[in-house]
Order: sequence, then structure tokens, then C-alpha cells
Amino acid sequence: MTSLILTPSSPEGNPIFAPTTVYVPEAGVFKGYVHPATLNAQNIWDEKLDVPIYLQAGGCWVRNATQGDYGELAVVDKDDVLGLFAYYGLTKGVDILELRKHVRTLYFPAGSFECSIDFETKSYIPAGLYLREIYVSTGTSGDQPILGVHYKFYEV
Amino acid sequence: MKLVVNGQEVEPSKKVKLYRVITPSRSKKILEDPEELQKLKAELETSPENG
Repeated sequence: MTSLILTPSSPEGNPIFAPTTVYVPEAGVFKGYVHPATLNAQNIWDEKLDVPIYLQAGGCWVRNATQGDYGELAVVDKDDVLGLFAYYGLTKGVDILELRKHVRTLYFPAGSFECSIDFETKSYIPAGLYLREIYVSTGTSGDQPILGVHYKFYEV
Repeated sequence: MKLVVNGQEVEPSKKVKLYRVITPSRSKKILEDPEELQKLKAELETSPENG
């Protein structure tokens, strides 16, 4: 079991060992969400970004998981913010353009699970895009799975 | 398997389509650099089969 890393770090994601001599951003933000998931379903939650951010790290915790459940994190364009829908024949309001997948098939053990993830480099995400959290539940009975997600980012 | 989007079950006929059409390295560039996004659009205009 691990915990979120709270060490000061630069916008590039590098640890700052001498905060008195290195610029320390003042707009660092931790943001979290809790989502009860539906059993035996692909659960999706979209968190819209109101401001552009540099995504640095994240983490999650899970309760009541079934062996075989997994989570994913993607960056998607739902509202044609980048203006690419027409090029790919996509329909605004119906289709989703998945731009990045930061976490792929992160399998959870049965029961409870916690982890933190540091990205190798900062990841710039323009305002208007969405952080898409996915929890695939394979269980058919028992308590409802719960997914907690948190992010560390800098607002631009 | 059911599909639940933001807490609401979605009919399979209305399943949200997922498109992953841009490589991860290209994706990072187009998000960070508007010129790279314009370059991608120019390429798509000349290569419509990419869609």
C-alpha cells in the first residue's frame, strides 16, 4: 500500500530538494472524487477541466473490488475543443475522441486497494477537455465497489 | 456487461464511441503546441483515409 507523494516538485514533476533556491509553484492543487460503481458494468465518469492544467500525479483507492476489476484514466475531447471531430467524422454530443490514456487496465485485487502514480513528465491538458475515469466491475454480487480518485496538478 | 456513464446506465444502442486515433507521443505534442495541432489538421486534410 502506498500513499500520495506530497514532496514539493517542479512543474516538470521533478522533486525539489532545496525549496529555498528553486522556484516553487503556488498554484498546486489536489483534487479528489469518490464514485460508487455499478456491479458487473463498465463505469465511466468524466471530470471537465474548467482551466488548463499540468497534470503531475494521481492516485486511487478501491473498496469492495472483485478479482478481475480494473481501472483506467484517459483524457478525452467530448465537445470538439480541439476542432478535430470533422476530420475524423465524429459527431459532437455523441462521439468521444480519446486523446491520451494515462492508466491502462490497472487491475485491482479483491477487496481494498490503494496506489499512487507519478507521471514521468508534466502533462498539459487544455481547458474544456475531460479526465475520464473508468472502473470495470466484473463482480455480480456483493457490496457495491467504490472508486476514489485524486489528482495532483498545477493550474495554468 | 452494462455501460454506466456518470451514474446513468446507457443503452447499448447509445453506447459512447471511443476513438483513439492519435499516438501517445503525438497526443502530447498537439495538446501542448497549437502549431502541432494545426500540422495534424493539415495532414488530415490531405489524407482523408486517416479518418
